[in-house]
Amino acid sequence: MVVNLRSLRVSTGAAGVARHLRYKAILSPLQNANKPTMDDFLGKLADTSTAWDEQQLHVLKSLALERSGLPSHARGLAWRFFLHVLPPTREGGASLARDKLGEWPVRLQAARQQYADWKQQLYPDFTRVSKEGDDDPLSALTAAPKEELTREEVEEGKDGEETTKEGSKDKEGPLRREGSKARKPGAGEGGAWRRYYAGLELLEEVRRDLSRLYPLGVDEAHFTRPKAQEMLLAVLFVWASLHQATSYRQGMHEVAAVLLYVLEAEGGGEGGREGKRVVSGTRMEEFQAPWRISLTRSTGNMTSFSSSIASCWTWSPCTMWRRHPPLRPPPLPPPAPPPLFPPPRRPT
Amino acid sequence: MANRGKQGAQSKYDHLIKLLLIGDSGVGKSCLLLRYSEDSFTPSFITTIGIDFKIKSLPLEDKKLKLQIWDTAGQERFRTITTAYYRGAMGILLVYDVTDERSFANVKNWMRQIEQHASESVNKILIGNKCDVDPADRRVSLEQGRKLAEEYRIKFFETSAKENVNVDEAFYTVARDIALRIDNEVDLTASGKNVKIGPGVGPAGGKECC
Repeated sequence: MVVNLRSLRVSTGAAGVARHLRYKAILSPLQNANKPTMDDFLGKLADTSTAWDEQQLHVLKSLALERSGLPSHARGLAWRFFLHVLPPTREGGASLARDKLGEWPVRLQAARQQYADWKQQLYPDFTRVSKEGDDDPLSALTAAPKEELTREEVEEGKDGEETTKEGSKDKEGPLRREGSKARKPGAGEGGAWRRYYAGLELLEEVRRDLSRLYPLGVDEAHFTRPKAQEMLLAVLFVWASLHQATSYRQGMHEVAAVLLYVLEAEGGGEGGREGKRVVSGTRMEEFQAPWRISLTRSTGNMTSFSSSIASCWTWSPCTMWRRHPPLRPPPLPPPAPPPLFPPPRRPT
Repeated sequence: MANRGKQGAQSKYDHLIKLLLIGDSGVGKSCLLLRYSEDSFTPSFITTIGIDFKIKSLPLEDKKLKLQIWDTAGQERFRTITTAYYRGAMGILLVYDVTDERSFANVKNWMRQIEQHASESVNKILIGNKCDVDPADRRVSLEQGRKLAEEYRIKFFETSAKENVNVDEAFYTVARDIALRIDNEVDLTASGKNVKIGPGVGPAGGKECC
């Protein structure tokens, strides 16, 4: 299921404008829809009598990159499609055939469930350890939590107090029991202990970056909310745990923030209908896609990886940008690969 | 006196001085650079990814120095990129955060990086940033910083990018030392001595080693 993103480049020039307008008309049902639900959106798509061809997808993509190019819900869906979260509907091609659309809700649901499972498995719930008076961090790491936390609990439990608890625990550390029980991280346990320390370090590392995250074009307060911070922290932590060779690298948080903003804040999935926000709007699969694209294009080493990240930025130039873009590209690093996502042309 | 910068017709400076800012993530390298190059400060500064640089001209006596200051990402995972910039650097500003013991403890790792990757004659300076903080939040004393710098035989400043304390001084000192060193080297070459007499020519002369 490979969408050839390069082929989706929006053409420029007068012909391009004309075509853009033509397809904008085709897409107009989507644009006029007020707060469409997922079903509405699918319905509208199904209304267009023909399968979507690549040129229509060009237009859909360029609209999806504009802040108000599509209604927010449709925008989130379009991003999911272009990020491969939702499958393109014909093998080997980019076209969007009607009969495959029915799979989308199923795929979304599966992706959510997958992330929820990963999170439960990998993301250590440090606050819970101290709440229960169990100061052995291993229990938080090795054993999966017995009862499942609801989303609300996850949100509420972690805000605010987290930093202080984290700090004090750091000092007491997992060695606290060592004296009484003479238990040392042996061969069997070493992995868990190492993971505990690595986990703490990673959390700290990510948190330090999240505390200074201000993507341009987003309300400054947006990502300072504890909830948003917690969501990003969990997503990045889980992703890094699943991809230990790559792990977390500075800059991922900015890409993740952009994705989160569009996919969650701009209306993600059917959460709205259920009367609660979709906290797991940060679904893991959604974050796999951009890295996968980046990494397969590069050799996977640090330098080209960062260029790949950089090329991801050009992806959403209309709505978000780094607050302080570099003055000029530094001369020394190897030439960056061509942008994966060419900047969309603004219709005049 | 032969000056490299004057060889190019369009050059408007006598020396191009390449500086490098290194140190742990979040110690304030970018803030120091912003304060020095644009005299401003923002608490909502973003993470540096990979590498960035700024230019600043600095008059020194009768000369004009052009400082090209490279700002690096502190994250260890970017080290393969950032160490590539060590070799070209004429001066390295090693920054730690006075409220963060760990960043101070890491100074020795950074020094090792310098030894491995930078040229031997590079001028180094140690900077303890965020000295404006409440004394209660401070974790590394002025004395500790000074002592460590003495150990490495390099100069030391405590700075605050926020309150603009010692920022100009730190950059000025290292730039001046480099300019002196270059002039000395040029003089030596001009007078027919091909043997470079390494450290010790400038007041801040590099650490003698190996």
